[in-house]
Amino acid sequence: MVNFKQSLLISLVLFLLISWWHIYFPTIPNPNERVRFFLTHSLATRGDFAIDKEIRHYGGTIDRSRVDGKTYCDKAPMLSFLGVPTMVILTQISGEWPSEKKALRWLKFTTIYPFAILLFWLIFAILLTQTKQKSLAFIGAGATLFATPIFTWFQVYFSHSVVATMLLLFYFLSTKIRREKEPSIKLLILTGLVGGITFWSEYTVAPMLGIISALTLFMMKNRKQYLWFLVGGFSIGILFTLHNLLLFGGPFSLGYSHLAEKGFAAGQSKGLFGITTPTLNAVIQTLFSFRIGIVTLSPFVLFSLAPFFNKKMRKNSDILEWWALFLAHFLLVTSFAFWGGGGSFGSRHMVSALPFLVMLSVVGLSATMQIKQSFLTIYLAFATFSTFIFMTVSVIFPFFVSRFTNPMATFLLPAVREKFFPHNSLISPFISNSTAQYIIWVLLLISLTIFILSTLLKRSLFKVTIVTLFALSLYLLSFVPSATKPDALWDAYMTMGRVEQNSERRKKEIILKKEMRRKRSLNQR
Amino acid sequence: MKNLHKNILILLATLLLLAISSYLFYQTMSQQDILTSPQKSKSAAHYQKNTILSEINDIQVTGLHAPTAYHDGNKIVYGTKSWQYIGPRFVKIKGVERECIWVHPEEKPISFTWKLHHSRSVKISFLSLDSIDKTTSLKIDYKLTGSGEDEGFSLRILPENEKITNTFTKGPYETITVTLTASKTAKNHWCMQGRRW
Repeated sequence: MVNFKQSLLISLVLFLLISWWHIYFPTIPNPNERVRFFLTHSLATRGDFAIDKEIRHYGGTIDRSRVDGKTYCDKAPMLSFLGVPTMVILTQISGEWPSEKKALRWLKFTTIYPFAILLFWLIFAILLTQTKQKSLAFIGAGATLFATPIFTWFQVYFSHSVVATMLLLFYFLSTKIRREKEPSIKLLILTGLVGGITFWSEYTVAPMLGIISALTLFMMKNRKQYLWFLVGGFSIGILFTLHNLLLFGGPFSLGYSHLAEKGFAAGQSKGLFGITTPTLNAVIQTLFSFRIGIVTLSPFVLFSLAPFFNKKMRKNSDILEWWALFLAHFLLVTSFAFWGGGGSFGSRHMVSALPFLVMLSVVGLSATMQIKQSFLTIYLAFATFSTFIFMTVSVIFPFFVSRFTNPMATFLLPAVREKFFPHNSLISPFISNSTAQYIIWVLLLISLTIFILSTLLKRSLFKVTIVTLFALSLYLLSFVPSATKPDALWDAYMTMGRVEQNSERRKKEIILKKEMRRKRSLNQR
Repeated sequence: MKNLHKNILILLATLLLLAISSYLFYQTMSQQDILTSPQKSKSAAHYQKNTILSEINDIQVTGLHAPTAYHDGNKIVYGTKSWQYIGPRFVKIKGVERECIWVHPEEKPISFTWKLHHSRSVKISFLSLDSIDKTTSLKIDYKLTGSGEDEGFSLRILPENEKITNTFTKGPYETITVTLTASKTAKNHWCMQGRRW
């Protein structure tokens, strides 16, 4: 097992990497992030669910619900609730209306980034139990956090990656209940509470929660105790129905039932909350496209198929459960009216199920390694490639207009070419040049990757070189398909960044001029 | 010895893969001209080709109350009392040539509605053509109706102090309606710029 000092050091490095950039684009505030922040702010400052005052102060958002002339957050509100205590502290320090940029950075530090650490250690613990190998558990935890869209959605005030963590925590606690002869009442209630909170953070995890809960009931030694589990779950359920009843007029009426934007409302009105049946296009795009494809962007997940070729693993109930969870969520997401998740990089709707897929891939890796040890190098090469994709693209812009079919060629390359690095990082107070910040980030990534690879590959220079070169080849190849001249991109994003930079420069010029005038008048006196 | 041979072969194969991928990368990026910056000051022809204005001949404008004002597709239409017209025109705003539908809302709100011929993303900007006036506020409402693909819509407003309020959505649409209301209109002319992406 990892000792306390090691785990503390690893957690610190993880926190540093996750919180390095502050993805905030004042010219293109993300409506999804914005509406969540508005609800947190309104609850923290006025105890009000309506966000009209925030819209007047900070600006509009198209993600909103309208009921009886009032505007509400249309999203599952739990993430906004979780941010309230720290927002109260911020408003005490910075006044009632802190800038959106500052507030979001604060909320991410206090409400989002800590979940990344929890997710890492949960996966580590689950994989260690499953594979009995510390290195494989470490690979799985690292790959989940940095080589999948989970990294992207830990960068913003969105619920996806937080929910992925909470769902895994729910799964972890549930397996504990299943194993123990007499699980404590506290554990049962806590698990139920975590399940309820997870559901209220993202409604789409309901099928996965249902599968885990049903299996827990089925595998429990004393089923009467399940009532305590239900007590925890239903206590959140009561709050959930009360909230809906008071705000939206019915116990199961959600924010999505009252969308203000007609386009969204039209999509949501199809089927059950916009859920119909899976479409072939959604299935293909979600798996293989260059913008959101799970397999294309994280090819190491192909190892998740390996357990099917291993007799022992085929019968392993945990592996079957993970597959059931992933497939249930995959079928649900590909049935959405807005399955693409808008202009996101990586399939954001699939994020909550990705930890299970990565864990399956690690178990698959352990199976293939029994045949040949060199499968580890292939897995690591794929995972390194994915890590570089997510950690170089997402830190510039995690949201793409879906027209840009290959973000590597049509977004990342022009961004680097034009030195378009609009965000602040942890080193901004010391190094103001945004290009230098990005270069330092990339150098940090390369050195950390080589260090981790050399540790995992037992300091074999040959293997580290092969893995690095193979990952680099894949990285270069990822630019090639669907590469087009991105003129539209230039206008859409970069000019906006320039305007912002120009206005910042002008502000500095004004301050400088004022200073000069003041000095001149002092001299004249 | 056997291992050494094997390792050399693996290394050579990896280097070959790297060479092929580097070649494909450079070849594709050069062919697509991605490695060179696009022209920063774009020509009018470029805008003519790429803006949505060429697609919105069926624009419907309401709220122009001057009796002689009329709308004739892309033609400039003059009013009597104070100028007000609408139609694609190239103007230099802060040194950059932009194609605009000019609007001068006067007292009444102006509403634009157009139906796109294709389902596509649209970005609309409102730019002040006059000196910046802090007291002026411009209220812009927009609504999107219809159905289409999951694409982006952007509303970029550049009114006072170069403050940009930008909203974008993934929402589907076919028809776009923009209502423009200026609370203090006497000195302000606005350029509405639409671009697809």
